[in-house]
Amino acid sequence: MIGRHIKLYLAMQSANLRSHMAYPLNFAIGVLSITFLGLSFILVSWVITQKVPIIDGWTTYELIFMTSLWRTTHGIFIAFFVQSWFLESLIRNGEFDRFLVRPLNPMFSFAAHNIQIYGFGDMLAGIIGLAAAMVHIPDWTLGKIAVLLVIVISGAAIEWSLQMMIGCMVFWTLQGGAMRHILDQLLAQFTRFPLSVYNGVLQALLTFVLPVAFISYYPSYFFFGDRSGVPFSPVLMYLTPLVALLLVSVTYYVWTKGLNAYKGAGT
Amino acid sequence: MGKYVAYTITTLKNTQVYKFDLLLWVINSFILVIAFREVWKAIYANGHSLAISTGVTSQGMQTYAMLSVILYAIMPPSISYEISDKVRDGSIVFDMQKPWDFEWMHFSKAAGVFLFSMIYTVIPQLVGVFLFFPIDYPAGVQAAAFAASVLLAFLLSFLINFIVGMTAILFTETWGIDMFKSVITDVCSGAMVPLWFFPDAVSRVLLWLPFQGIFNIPLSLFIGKITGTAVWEQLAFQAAWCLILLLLSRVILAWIERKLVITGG
Repeated sequence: MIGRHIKLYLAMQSANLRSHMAYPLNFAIGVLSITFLGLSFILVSWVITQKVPIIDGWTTYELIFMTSLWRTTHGIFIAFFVQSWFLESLIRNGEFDRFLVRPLNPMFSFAAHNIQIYGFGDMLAGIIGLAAAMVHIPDWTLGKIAVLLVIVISGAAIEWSLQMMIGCMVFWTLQGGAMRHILDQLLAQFTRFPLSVYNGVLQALLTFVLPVAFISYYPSYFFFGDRSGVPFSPVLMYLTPLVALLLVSVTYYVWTKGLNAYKGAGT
Repeated sequence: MGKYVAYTITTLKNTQVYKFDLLLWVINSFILVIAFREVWKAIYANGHSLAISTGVTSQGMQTYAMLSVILYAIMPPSISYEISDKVRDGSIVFDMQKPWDFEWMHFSKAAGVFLFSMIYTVIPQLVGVFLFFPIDYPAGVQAAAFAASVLLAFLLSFLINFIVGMTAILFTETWGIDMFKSVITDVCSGAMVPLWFFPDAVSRVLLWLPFQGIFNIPLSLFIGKITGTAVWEQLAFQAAWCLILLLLSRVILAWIERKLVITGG
């Protein structure tokens, strides 16, 4: 059963990939420009820390590590799950119904519907940033790298859940574009500097309500030598996979409810 | 002239449709205003001699950061996507044949968006900032210079967008080029980090480019980093780049119109 789905997923995504590759020049420019965009964020962190070497206890390379970690997870989200951005337009155009009539789980069918090559640009920028930072962060072991992999996947799952839940609003309200924009901006802003630079309300909000801080901020502490500065509780730096699991379950529940509420585009 | 004003007003009306989106948009910017301020406050708190080495106090930098978010809202949106859509379905030809100037038409539209953002996002946010945060604002000549500088910044940003947008006519797919433009503008204009934070050699180059006219000059005027005769020099710098880019855009537009006639005829 699972094997069949994996085979199907690979077949669908490779077809998507081939259709994107039809214009190789656009493909190259697109991926390159996104890589450039990702690196520019890392560059900005570098420029600031040339004047101020330590921000709230974080060194240049720790900051670069954190921001690159988000770039990487964001790249995975964009590459494989960006279609959650387009739920609104799919429903408005009546194209959404095709996921419902297929003999597959609609969530699976929806997830395998698109592959967005620009995500690879984000991943590339993130991996370059991570590699550059990791050289300067002591005590890397194979075990830690395995944990990093789990964190990256969990982070992507958290971003997917948040984006998807906002996307699902469309089932009830038939809109949600502005909310999505807010989430994008919050993700980009609050994954770049340590949470401790913000006031207490924002810290609590980003930890307990909209758990953006679990994508890159809390898990970063796990890889650093000094772990004394974790806000609220040091336990939080281990919780990313749990938060991801919880959010994914909630999202799946919201999605199912949404499908039940969905009446089609009308006409 | 009348038809351009009418187009500006139509754009302004069209943008007012989505009231709920607008509210969320304002909330979003306000969160960013606060976040930017807190980031720079923390950076200044951690860098001990920063106020002396940069010549800008923590308070001045917080003002710079908050205003950079607010100014972002009035900068004209990219037109590459719109143009490349029109190239794909061929309607670009009709746009070019209409009895109006292609560049003026786009400028009128950008002006409509400018008015809209002024009324609905910039003014409410400025009021919010003045109410909640202690900031020093300019007065007299300095304030007038700031206002003039913002208008020139808008014009500069429009011209850069227009030139990049027109390349869509040549290449059809401009997604990547437009992304490059956004990144370069964001980094080199001082929108993300003020230019005086860059290493000296880099900032010396950036000070000659048009991008610094979009954020660095108006914001430096506001916080009083630029004063005296330097005010006029900086305004002249913006105006000179506007003129150069305007001429460049006219040359490219004329060339494209000729090319379209040849391929179309």
